[in-house]
Amino acid sequence: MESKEAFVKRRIVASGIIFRLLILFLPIVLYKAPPVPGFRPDQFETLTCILLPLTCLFFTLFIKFIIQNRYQKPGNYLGPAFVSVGYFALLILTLAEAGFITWKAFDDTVIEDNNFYVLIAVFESAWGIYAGFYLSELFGRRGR
Amino acid sequence: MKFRCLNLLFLLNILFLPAAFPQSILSRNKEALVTHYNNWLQTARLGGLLLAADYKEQKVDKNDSARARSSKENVVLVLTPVPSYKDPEKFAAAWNEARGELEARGIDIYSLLLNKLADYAFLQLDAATVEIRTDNADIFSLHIYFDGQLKHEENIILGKGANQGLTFNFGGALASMHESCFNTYRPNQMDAVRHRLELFFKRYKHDPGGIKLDSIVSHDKKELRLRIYHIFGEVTGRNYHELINLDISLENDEICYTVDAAYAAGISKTPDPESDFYREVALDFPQKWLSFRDNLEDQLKAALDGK
Repeated sequence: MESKEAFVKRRIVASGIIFRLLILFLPIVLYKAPPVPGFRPDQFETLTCILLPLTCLFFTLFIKFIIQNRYQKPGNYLGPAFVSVGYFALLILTLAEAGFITWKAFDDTVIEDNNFYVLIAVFESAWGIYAGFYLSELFGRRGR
Repeated sequence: MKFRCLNLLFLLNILFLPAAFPQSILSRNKEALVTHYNNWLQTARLGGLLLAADYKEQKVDKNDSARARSSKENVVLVLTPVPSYKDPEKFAAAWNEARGELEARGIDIYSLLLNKLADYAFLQLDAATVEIRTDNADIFSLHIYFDGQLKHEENIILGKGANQGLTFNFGGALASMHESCFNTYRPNQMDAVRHRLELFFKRYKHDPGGIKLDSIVSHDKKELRLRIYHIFGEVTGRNYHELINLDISLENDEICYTVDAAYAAGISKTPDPESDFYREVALDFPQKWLSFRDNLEDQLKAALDGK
């Protein structure tokens, strides 16, 4: 796996955009598309309000990177632990959060609404921690 | 070092996950009625005054006439004042005011509280009791029950000028409750009414497993309680799981009914009607609710007249 800094950043940005879009659009799809809606209007509104702030943060971060560092040099090799934490944390968080949202949409009775919102808030805080520790570290490097 | 911190924080997040799950399925079922009733109190704007605190099943004294005959156990829902009305005198004044406001709108608060309990627990009216307890039973206490007719034992002492400064604005809060009467020349037997209504509701759009319809007829054959579920898209206009509670009473030549409806989401599973996953249709789809209940009277008339 290519582990030069610029390649890692590009992959994280590409997968981050796809995964956050998935997290944001999943409730919309589950609310609108199925024959029986997966969420009530009040559930959908609350869920969107929880998901939106971090999605905005990620998009701002990624778009800023795309604009400023399009032609960044490959840079130094990064340690395999550092690279794998970045990919796997992103993948696990997305799969877990999307999984719970889908599960709740399919069977409303699996978890009470208030507990569900707490669970999603816990996931979002994990995304926040990921951004605060990993992304700030990775994107704080300026083509060293 | 930073990666160790990162791992630690992820671990902490995972540790918090179980806290987000409900305590247990069993305790949730038992609490569902209290939660459901509290949700309704909020919807009806009575939540600023009353709180459902406890729900228990108790056997009725065998000497207690019709109530003892009616069922093996009776359900008692204990309501208490909310903390801001903890003072019994203050609560008594507020209760009096709320009762007056509802009376002015043609709604009997005693009947309303008891009927809601019977709806949510799906019981005959005479198997349900509502109690309101305050810290001082001499100043305020209330028992509502049904023994052939709706009765209430109320102990209320109002202080001087008790009603000053208290107003309850129910607004459209009770829009979901709809009571109406109409004349019908047939049928005049409750069993026949039930049969015709069952045939009528079976035409509703329903789950592949079929429509579910529970009914209870009172001993005097004057009251019918119907609960229709596993239907969808009939009230909200979107394909949500819907639950309709219809209470019918025969009064001389008239048929009187009250109806309310709730809905729930879920792509693959319909929540149990006793669960608290249903929400009042009137809250989120007021226009759809109004048009449904306006059409229902004509449909009921047609169904009962065999059209």
